[in-house]
Amino acid sequence: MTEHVGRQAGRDVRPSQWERTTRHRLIAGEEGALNEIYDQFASFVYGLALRVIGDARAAEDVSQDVFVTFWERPDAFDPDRGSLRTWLGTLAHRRAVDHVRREEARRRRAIKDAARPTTTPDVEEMAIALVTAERVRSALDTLPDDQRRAIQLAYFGGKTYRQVAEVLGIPEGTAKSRLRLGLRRIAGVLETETVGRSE
Amino acid sequence: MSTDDTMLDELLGAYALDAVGADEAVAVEAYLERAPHAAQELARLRNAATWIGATEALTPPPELHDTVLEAARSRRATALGRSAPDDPCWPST
Repeated sequence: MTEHVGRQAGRDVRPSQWERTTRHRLIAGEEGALNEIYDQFASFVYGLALRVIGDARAAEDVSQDVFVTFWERPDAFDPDRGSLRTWLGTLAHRRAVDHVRREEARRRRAIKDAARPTTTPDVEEMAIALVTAERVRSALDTLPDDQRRAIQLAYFGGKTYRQVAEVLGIPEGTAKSRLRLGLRRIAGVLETETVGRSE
Repeated sequence: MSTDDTMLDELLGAYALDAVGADEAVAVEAYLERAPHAAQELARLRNAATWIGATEALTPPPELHDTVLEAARSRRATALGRSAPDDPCWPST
């Protein structure tokens, strides 16, 4: 029986049909597919970049870079190895961290939400994403303070684990294990309910 | 499992958060190629990191949409018919 939902290297659920179809449409150069992806993931990519960089202009540049990269090389995303959200998020985070590490001085400023009506290409997935993000927010609140602090410094602060260790005044090995343990707990929460699947 | 491998396993959380040095990233990536259990753990941790990132979602300024589309259009000609370079995102498993 080939009904095997085996854990491939990158994901423990099968890729959604939407991901496969959209990827093919992008490979065919369909602009409408890019629009859909933008509408579905722009808030995620932009919000993450902004949180890491703290500068709206630079966050827009990173967001543009992420979507254009996917447009140019849609085949670099392999749906069997992880969700599109994870692929876009990984790319956005790397670009944002690169930016932060290039810029010594970081400016953080409050950004007001500028809402705009958008089409909603995959309403169900977007609703799941909202619920999942909310669950992760609660899960973060229940993490031990030391793990949460380490994760925030590393992921949103763009710091290496060595810098995290320095900031927190803990051994580097401790910083490493706090990051890993904290992420494992969040992963565990995501796996406890089907709604935790990533797109 | 060797001591080195254990040390590389310990780096997986930091790696999933892009919080390792360049040399360490190279070492982890080589390790992922020969250690399926590590690639699997990384996928879990990276998914978790992604959802942590998703808690910060924020609607971008409306003009970003057009900016992205214009940039995409201007590169469309070069985008098609060109093979993708090495995957910048997935670990090389």
